[in-house]
Amino acid sequence: MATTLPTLTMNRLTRAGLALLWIIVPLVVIAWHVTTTPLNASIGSAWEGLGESAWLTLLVTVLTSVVVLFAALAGSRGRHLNATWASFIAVPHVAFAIGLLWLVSPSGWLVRLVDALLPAWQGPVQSSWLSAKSTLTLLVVLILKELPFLLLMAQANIRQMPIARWQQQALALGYSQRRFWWLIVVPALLKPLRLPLYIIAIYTVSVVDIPLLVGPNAPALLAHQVFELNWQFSAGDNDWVAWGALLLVLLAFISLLLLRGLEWLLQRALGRCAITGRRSQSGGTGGNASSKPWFWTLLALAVLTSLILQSGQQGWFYPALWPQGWQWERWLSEWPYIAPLLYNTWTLAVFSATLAWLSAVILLELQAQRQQSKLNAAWLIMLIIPQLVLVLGWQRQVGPDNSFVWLLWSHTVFCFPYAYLTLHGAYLAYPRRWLWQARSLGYGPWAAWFRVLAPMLKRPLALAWAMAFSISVAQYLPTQWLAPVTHPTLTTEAVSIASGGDWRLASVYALMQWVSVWIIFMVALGVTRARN
Amino acid sequence: MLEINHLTMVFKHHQLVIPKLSVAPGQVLTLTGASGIGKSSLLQWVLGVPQPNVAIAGELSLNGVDLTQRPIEQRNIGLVTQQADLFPHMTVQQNLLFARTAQSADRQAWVAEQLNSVGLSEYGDAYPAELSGGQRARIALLRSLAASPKSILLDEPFSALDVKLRTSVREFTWSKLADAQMPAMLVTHDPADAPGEVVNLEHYYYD
Repeated sequence: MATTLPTLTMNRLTRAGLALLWIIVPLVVIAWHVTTTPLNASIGSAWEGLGESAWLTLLVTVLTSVVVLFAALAGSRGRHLNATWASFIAVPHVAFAIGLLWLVSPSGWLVRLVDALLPAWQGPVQSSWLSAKSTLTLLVVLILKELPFLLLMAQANIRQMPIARWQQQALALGYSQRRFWWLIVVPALLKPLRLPLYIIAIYTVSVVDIPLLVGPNAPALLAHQVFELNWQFSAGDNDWVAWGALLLVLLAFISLLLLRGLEWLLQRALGRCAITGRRSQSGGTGGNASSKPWFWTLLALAVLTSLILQSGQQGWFYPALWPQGWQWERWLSEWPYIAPLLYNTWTLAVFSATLAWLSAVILLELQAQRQQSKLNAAWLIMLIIPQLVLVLGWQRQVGPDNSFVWLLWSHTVFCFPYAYLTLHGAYLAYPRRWLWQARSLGYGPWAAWFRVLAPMLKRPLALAWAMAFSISVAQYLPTQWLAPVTHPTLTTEAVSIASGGDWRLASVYALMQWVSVWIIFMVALGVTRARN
Repeated sequence: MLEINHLTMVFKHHQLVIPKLSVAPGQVLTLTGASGIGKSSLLQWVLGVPQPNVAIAGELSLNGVDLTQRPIEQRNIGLVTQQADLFPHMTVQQNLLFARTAQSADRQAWVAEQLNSVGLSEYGDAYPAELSGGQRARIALLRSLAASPKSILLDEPFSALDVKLRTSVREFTWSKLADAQMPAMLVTHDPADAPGEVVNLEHYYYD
């Protein structure tokens, strides 16, 4: 036992160190901030000012989560998405929103296409409901951006189920494909999808950059409003910010309770349906459009094309289908401004992705050595606390324009759970006996890891790094609140420019943001292509 | 000589207490017993694999050298398993070269000779996925022997093979081990696999 005791102690110390860096310190800073912040304004006056926003946030969160859940449950019946789809999930939200807005806005490309095809059409659409910045636009952007994530999670779980055997049994008993799916697979899928769904809900509660671009202003979403108030310097506004942050936590909790309730209801309803013994007559093999990879390819291409055309157009007035003039020089004239942002974005992303990736690999290696094969949800805690609340607390404690180290740390706190989530399935399923084989042949633990495990898991390892990189590139709030002057990034600039209304220039920045992530994913997929 | 002394393995619902087990050079000791009794765990302990869910105390020595505290890579004990465990990202030749120590003379020629001896010379550049079960089993044994181990552990090495292949791979294994003259331990469910002494672990079982 003499040699195993130090190993165990080292393992515990390493886990404690990782927990300290990415969980304990972030939470202690928040706890300190909350307990030392006096709430001067009364809850009544705060509710008067923030109540409408709070209701709207709850509505948007629940609607987004429910639509995404049902679309994913129905959509995961289709063809399986593969690793390439991870690159679509990783498209930065801001770039996606800027591109999609031009596509679906009331005078956007799709409406122009309808106008060109149907001469009787009286466009563009005139309705405040459908204006570029509205609750509906916000919902569309959030749903389309979050759905692939839940689809991928659903399909990862489905792959581990004996679907073919269940299907054989159900069909032999006379059930249709559709009833088999909803009565057998969906109930088994709801529990494993709980955590990813909560991550989506919490993201929606606290997202700021997307509402800034496409969300309504009166009332704005609560996170959006708290973000705006935090730029004001009066004591009254500060009190409202504190109440707003508390309300966000409350909303997050209520949203999770509602989603848990919905899951319970759905389980009961499907369970009751299942025991009626009723078989439907129709075969029902058709899936949802969202399940089709071509839908996502088309969407991604349309958004990308929209960004490219916008970035080079000089004039593009309704109802013209194509720009009436070009001004590609915009790219050249903007380059001196883009270059330093690109440098900041990449430096931050490379360092934070590497730190997050290393932490995730170390943690998973320790878990694998202890034969723990399940995802440890405690390491994902940063994804189930509203980001605005976390970053607000950090900003109040460490100051608004700090060193690169604090910024790097804040990015890594959010990159780490995604690296862990992306890698855990492949890493913990890896048969350790291959490592024992290498070691029985005389190789040490490091040599066995690098020469046997790493080449065999090269693709998941590379994708986990790429995912962490893309998460850092997409970060808005941590950069905007912790280092807006010293370390602006492509994302912070794209949001500033787009919220100022210059969509042409914003498209240039959004494209650079997208290309940064795309290059990394293509390299990750390319260099890890299996020969055998 | 491979020797196990005063071994106690405490599992969740039972324990194994083995006062002494020894295997002489050239001998294959076969371990049998009900599923879950701890045959593979015992083999893994001999190999040096940490087992967080089993409390183990005991001594292990090979040719008089105490191995109890040594990590896997310093034990000089080879392993052959049911799945063969050839590294899928390496060709057959690369698998064998990976196992052969860097100090060995003329490594390439040794690999060619070994492949030739088992009639697989043309498979040097093939990946494990392109081999049949019997071919994989032969290469797995060659790979274990390539590192010149002083003992070898066989964890159900024949159970994934059909009856005909099983007999031929078994004969191939015993002839190779007889040449190498090293102590070996075999875990199996099939009494027909056992070439010599058989130890039933149920005799060492305690609730």
